[in-house]
Amino acid sequence: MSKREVFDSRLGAALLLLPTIVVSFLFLYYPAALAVRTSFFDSTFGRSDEFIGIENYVSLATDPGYRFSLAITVLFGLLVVAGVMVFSLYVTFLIHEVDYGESVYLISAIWPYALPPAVAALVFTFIIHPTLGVLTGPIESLGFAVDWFNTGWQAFVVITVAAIWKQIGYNVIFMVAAMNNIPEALTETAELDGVSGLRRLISIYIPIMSPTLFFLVIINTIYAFFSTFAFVDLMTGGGPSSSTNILIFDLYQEGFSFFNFGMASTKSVLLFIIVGILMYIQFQLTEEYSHYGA
Amino acid sequence: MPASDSPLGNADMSDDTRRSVLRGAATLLGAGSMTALAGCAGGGDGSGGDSQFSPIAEELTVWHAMGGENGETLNQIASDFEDETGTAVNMEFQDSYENVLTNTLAAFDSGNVSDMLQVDSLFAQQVLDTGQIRSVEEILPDDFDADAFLDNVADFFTIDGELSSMPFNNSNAIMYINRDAFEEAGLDPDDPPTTIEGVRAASEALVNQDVTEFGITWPNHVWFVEHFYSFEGETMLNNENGHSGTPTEFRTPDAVYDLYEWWKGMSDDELYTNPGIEAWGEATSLFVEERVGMLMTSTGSAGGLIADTEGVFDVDASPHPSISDTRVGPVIGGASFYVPDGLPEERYEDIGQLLAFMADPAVQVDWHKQTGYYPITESSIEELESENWFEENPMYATALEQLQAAETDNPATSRILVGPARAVQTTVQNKSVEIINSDDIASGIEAMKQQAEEELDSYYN
Repeated sequence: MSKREVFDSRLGAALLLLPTIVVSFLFLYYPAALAVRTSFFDSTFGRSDEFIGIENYVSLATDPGYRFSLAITVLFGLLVVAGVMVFSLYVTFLIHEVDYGESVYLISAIWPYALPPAVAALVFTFIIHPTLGVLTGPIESLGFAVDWFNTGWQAFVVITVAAIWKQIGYNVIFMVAAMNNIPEALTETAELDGVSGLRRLISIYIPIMSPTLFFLVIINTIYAFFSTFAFVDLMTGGGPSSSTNILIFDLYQEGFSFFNFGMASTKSVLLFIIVGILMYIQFQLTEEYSHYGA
Repeated sequence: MPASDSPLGNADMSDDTRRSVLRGAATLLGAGSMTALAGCAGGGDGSGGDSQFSPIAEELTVWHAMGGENGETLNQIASDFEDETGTAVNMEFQDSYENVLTNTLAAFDSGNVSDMLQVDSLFAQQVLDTGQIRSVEEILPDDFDADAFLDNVADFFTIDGELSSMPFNNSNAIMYINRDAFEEAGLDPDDPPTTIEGVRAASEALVNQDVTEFGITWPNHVWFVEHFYSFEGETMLNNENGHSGTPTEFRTPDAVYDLYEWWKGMSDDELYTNPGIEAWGEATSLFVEERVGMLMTSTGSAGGLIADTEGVFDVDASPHPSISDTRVGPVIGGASFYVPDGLPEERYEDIGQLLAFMADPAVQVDWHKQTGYYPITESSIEELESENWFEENPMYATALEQLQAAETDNPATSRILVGPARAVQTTVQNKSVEIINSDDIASGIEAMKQQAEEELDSYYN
């Protein structure tokens, strides 16, 4: 970024930044530091905190339940990010290619994004509820028994699909914008050379859109790890058999249902580290593969 | 989200700028969601001791979990109390018992507490363990007769010989049946099943003759498992479900194996459908929509079920089924009002007046009629009987008879009183689903026992 001197005095700049700094400090950095501290304590309501060193970390490291949560969270994250990206790209491409009614398709694709996550979760529950759901009948008529209240892998699939469905709209908005920015001349040249539609998407559009796609991968990863909480909380409660007990839900339950603040803080610190590492890897990878213009 | 502010066409943005904006946005979002959560979880300071609390408002404040109609009824009680005594009361709805609990515990830490708290009996021990509760027996006016409560109700809420909280809305689980469906399937609606074996036979009749899709459903809630234990005369936890000492053991007598054997069989043969964990609404919907012929749920649902099925089918109430022919009685549960210790002394007299007012027979009679929660004092039952209320409303009579028939001196009829109640509850509910879907019931029950005991151990030790 080019260096611009907007402010004459550093003091003026500092003054204007102060509100943001104060708010960030009070509501982000300070609580985060407290969480790190609490993670070394046995802490709950109504009793005084007891320092226990790394005991929380040790017990999590040896807890098969937590390892299972970690594994399904990673799998869930991968599926959601991949699913959202692939599906959104394809939808965007179709919207880009269609001759009539582009805005109608665009609005329909974006619609689920306009729902708050909790509402989306309830809507989705009633779409695919094992006994009351509107889609359940048609699916079962294909000879498949919908039973995700009892069957772990089905619940996992339902949550994954719901999470993908919710996030497509957001991705389509950005992808449509990026795709519309691709010079028409490129498309025409490709068409003259007889490049098929899908090839054009893969070999021309995607590389050009890569900065946007990279951004979306990051946002979708954060989404999968954090914002999918409502789906789990409202649809499965982490079950059955912990099959949808992703880390963010596990952490919430530990803290706000069982009031084990020490352990919940430990879990949140670990989640922070895990997602931090993932972000670092993604930045490294995309640094290599993203094209930022000529 | 800051990122969504970008317009659809952002051609004029240089690639360089976009890159840094994107990276900035991503980092911010990441850090934001992460630390916000971490911060929330870090809130528990856990300062115990005899802190002096300040009240929420000049008026008496009551935190409760009664939504809809029941909440309206509670507001009415408050305004009647104000008319009578001149003391204003704010009834503040907190959405759920879980929220009352969370807010209460958080309030104890912050110092601003409400004057009365409606706590579900499941969470009683957790509130008592804070050491910030003053027993209502000390607060109630001297002329109040604590013996007025039904024995089994008073027994549950008496801790160390004192009435620790004021029982108010109490219910137990009963089984509702669709009379029309029973007749269609050739079953006698006047003789509904009383054991799990009978429920299976009735379910088979209903399903095999295509009257309903499933036989029975109930919300997957620990309360029903507790009822099965209680009817069998078995406590779920040792030391009398925690009433006579610290519970350390999750008991799994043979009857519990019978229960899960039956439950799994019902599920496998599609005679039972699982509405979901704590899915009270879904379970009721299945019954109202005639997808099931039987429903186990709260006696407090009677009024709603009558209204929802009017003109569609005849609903009736029958006692909660039991595992064997042993029928000790339902668990006594429901919620009660707790009062924090350490509020300004002058408030306790008004609080005592309000508590006494809420236990007044006239108030209890109205409360029962409008909500279906059973009356908890002998005198209110006498009054209802003198009005022939139970003869005219036989569904309410079923609930009360089930309660009165209970062997109150049997410790099994007292609900589990345990610190990590929410954790034990979640374990039982999650493991129940696991057990009925596994091929090995015994190891599933063993796993449930083990996990529940670990939770007891980590809370108490």
